[in-house]
Amino acid sequence: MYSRVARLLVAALAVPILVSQTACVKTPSTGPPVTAEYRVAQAVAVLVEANRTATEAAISLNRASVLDRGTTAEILNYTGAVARSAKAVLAVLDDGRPLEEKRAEIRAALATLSNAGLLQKGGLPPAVVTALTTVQLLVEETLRAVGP
Amino acid sequence: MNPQTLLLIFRGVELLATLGPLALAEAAKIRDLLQAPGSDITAELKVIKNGALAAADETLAMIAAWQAEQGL
Repeated sequence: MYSRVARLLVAALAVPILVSQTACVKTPSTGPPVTAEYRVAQAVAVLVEANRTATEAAISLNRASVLDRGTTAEILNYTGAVARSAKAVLAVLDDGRPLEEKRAEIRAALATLSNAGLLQKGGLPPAVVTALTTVQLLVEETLRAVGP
Repeated sequence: MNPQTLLLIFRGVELLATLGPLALAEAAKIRDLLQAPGSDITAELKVIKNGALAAADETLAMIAAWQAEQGL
């Protein structure tokens, strides 16, 4: 217990110290510029994390008898499709071609993902609605990162 | 000032003396991570992609386990 409190205190002290040091010492960024491919990979990474959370939430709520089997299966159909599309996008990103040559492929892998029907049905617990809305927003965010 | 207040101040100073250096070390570690000079963007990209792939695989495994549990 004491060590946990101490760790929290250390963290609480570290943040203002870090902020004050960053504010005082202006160090120019020395790393290479972030590429468009990097931004797409980052967007996909955030998307798959949110999708995993939505999947976990649906399964937990089903086990707690909050979500029925049919609705859970529908939600998992969608999150499964998101996971497979994300894997497809990651495979395309890894094929060595420049992003310009594969934008259309990446867009195609993501464009069919929609949970609008699921959300319009209604009756879903607010946590699931939030999780699914977040996933869909992140799909759109990834499409924006891919570009036209 | 009564002895109890003095003791409290002493304890506070003692705590700051213990935690201060630790906090400085933590702050330095975070700063180094944020400002890693010449950080290899290709390596970073690989880490991001591998992490995303692992999360997608875990999700699919969770779904498969639930479906098996339900006899689907």
